[in-house]
Amino acid sequence: MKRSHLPISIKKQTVIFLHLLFLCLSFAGITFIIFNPNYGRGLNWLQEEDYADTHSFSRRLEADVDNVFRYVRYKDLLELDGEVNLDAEMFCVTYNSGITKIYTLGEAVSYARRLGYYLNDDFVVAGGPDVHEWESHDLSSPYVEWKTYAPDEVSQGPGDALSSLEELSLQVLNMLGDYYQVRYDYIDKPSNLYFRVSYMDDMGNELLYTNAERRSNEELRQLGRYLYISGNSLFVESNLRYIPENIISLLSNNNRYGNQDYYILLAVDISFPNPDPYAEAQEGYLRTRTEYISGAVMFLLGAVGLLITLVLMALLTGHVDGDRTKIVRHYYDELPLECLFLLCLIALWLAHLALESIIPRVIRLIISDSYQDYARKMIRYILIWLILLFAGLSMLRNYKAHMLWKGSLLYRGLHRILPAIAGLSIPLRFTAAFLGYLFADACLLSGFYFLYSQRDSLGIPYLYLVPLLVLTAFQVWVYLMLYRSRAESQKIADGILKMSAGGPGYKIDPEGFSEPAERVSQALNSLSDGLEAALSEQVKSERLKADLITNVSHDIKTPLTSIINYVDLLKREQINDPKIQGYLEVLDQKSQRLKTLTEDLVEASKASSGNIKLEISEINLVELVQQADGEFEERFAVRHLNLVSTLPDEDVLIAADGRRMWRVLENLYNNAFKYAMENSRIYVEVEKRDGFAYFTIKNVSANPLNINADELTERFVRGDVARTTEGSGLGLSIAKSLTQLQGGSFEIYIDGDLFKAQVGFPIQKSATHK
Amino acid sequence: MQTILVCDDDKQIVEAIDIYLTGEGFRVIKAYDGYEALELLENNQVDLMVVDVMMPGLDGIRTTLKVRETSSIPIIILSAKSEDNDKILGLNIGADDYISKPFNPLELVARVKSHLRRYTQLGNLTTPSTDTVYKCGGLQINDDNKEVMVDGELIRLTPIEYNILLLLVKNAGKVFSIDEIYEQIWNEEAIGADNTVAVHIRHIREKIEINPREPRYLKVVWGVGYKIEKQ
Repeated sequence: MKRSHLPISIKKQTVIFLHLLFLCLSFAGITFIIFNPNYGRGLNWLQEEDYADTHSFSRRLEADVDNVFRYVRYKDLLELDGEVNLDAEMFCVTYNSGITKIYTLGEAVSYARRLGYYLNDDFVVAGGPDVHEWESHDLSSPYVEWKTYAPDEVSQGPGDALSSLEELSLQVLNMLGDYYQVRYDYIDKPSNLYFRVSYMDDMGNELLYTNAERRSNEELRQLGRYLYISGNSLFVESNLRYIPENIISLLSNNNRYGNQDYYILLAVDISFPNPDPYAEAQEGYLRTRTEYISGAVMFLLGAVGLLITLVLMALLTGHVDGDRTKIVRHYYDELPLECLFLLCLIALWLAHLALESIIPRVIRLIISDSYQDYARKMIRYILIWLILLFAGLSMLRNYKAHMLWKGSLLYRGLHRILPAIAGLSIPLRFTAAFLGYLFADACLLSGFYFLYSQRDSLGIPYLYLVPLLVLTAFQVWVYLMLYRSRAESQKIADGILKMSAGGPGYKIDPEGFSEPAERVSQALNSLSDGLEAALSEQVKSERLKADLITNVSHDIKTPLTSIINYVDLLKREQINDPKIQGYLEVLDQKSQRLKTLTEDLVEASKASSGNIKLEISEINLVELVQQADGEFEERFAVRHLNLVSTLPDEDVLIAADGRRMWRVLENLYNNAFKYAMENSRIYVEVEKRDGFAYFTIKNVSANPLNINADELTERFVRGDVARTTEGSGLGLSIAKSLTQLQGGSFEIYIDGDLFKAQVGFPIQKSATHK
Repeated sequence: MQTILVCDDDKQIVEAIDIYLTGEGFRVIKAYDGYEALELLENNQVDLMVVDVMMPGLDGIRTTLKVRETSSIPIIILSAKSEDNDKILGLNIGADDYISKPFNPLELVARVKSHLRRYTQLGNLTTPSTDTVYKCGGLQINDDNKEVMVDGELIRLTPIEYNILLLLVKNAGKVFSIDEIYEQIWNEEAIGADNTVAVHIRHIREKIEINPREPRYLKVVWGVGYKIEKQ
């Protein structure tokens, strides 16, 4: 599509001009429609209706029916062989003098003419007696004997039958005018209305009144609309939409034979070939129809044009030539949104005032009274439209410049207040929020109460439900916010608990969290990440340490092998020198000690770093202790140590790695073997307490235990500070590490010289339990 | 005279082993890496091989695998690695024994002798396998004359020790708890704790095992009981 290169300002002006034009067009269209006689009938009639179907047509027809029967009456009275009979007798009077005289038509007319009356071009009586002549006028009132034109008139009282001659002759003249009128309209002049009224006496003599002598009844029926009423049928044959109401009574009233042999046929040629009132009315009808249609089309065009130009204005407003993204705001666009609203309201109010006072006066100068209300209405609408258009475009420009919300007083106010609120401490903020909540509730409740109490005086039904609905929605909203906040903090709390329970890899999913909770959870996640990284780093370094110790111990073992082997070889050399034998003994001892030390070192590092594969199964602690007793009894005997075991009769099952548990007990027994005072007793006990199985070993130390219990399980710490005895100092440390690796507890108690070690494991509830 | 191939990259260790084994009347040939060992194996009649794991060139594991392709002589692996995994690996690829460094020279000699005895016995001797003779690896019990032999060497056991061992060998692979053993041997219900069984077991182990701490036959299932390994 080719983009037009017109400057935007010209485009804008054109669009505004077109908009106003379309506004005028649509209002003109509305005017056409409103002032059309068919206003308020919708659009269907345009398609369905003919003039012959309208009320105005039927009204005209009804009037014509009157005229036709007037002709029927007057014809016999005034006419003879188709001409006006001046000798026809009209009335008979008796004067006070006793003279009775019959007046003919000619006499009555000439009497009236003498008085100055005449029939004008429209067959209406005009003129009248001169005032001066009136003085000399005979004022005597003769008694009316009879009237041919009103044969049924019966005097009710003595004065009723008195009438002046002037009056009577005027009646005759009027009658004559009417007669001429009908005759002229329907018979002398070609008419679109045809009638045929027929009365037949019993002899078969027909009285026929018609203006269509040359046409048959059938021909008349073909002309378009017809109406046929017969005396011997109750039904009306017709294709008219409305039957004239007067016709049936008139038809029977004018029947002078009193029988059923009469009929009337009315027909209207709906092609309206003759220029008569029907043709004129048809033309007028067609004209209003055209006007109505053109009004509707104008309104439609105007509305569409309004819409299009409105869209164009909306698109164009604010833009200037060149930079498409730049939005130019007028100086009045700087006004805050609220001020714009206020301005709008003021403008509307002023317009209203003007419409009430000045404008009607101005209108009265230009427009006739009957259109004034309408004109005021139109002007009101146009003014409202223009004010709203102005405000709407201003808002649109602000919207385009992203200043609609930012420019509003509410926004500015909130921006002043919010930082102040954010600066408050949490309890104050919470209190403020709660007070705000209460205030909103109170406002809504009182609004509801007010509207409910005023519900009868307010025009809108159920208006009081609005604050109730808003209140409900508000409560739901508050509930949702609280629920969400609670759920979020619960999620965060759960996350913290899981993290602290040794799951540093745990992450809180901040999906769908609100802003502060999301920040907290992200901070927690990064904390967890850091913790996890630190932990894995620690585990890694422990592993590295264990690996290093293992490798170093491997490297030590090879030369140690040679040392041990060659010391042994030396000892076999049968050296008799006791000094050398002593030296060799030292070498032998120390090399053996080095051997245990390296082995223990590897085990200790692995145990403490957890770098050991456990084979956990169900083992019997009692059995294990018995086995250990068996292994050690004879060794203890060497140092004259008496082993006293107190074991329960039943099995005590625990979940542990049998070989590692043996290692734990072995170290503890070894410890007792090495450090217990000779000739003392070593107490070994297994007991069940609170769902736990405890293994306890007690002995009296040979050397004073001037040391902390905790320190004993640290690596390389030994009860004898001098470190003269055999042992690596790792035994208890290994035992503790291994116990803890298997999920058990390991405690050492020192009471004077009494050494006590206790290993505890949860008892397994097993089906094989005896 | 039986020939033993000793292979280790540490010359002093090879030398020491040489001294011990020569002293026991074996012929020792020495290699200092895997390739050398394989070469010597091809050119000599070797009855047993002692091989170190960590060696430059071909290591002990791969050497063992190579040897196992052609020969079934006993192989004892010698290693500074003392972890279970290393032992299991060594035994799985076809070694007959695994001794961790630093080792007791006497234990090494004992194991060498034991493996040689078994090897030669298995090769030559077809012991009459009757209902009264129970065999488990190098352990053999003749219930007729109440004799217990380990790698062809007669072992002296007390009657109770014998009965315990017989019970375990008869049900090789099954684990007996102390109470079960007590009830079977003494024919009375085991009431109260007693170290008797455990002490006897310890004694049996000291008699039939080269290293009672690492038994080959009578294994301790800690916390459960005792069993003879099915072989």
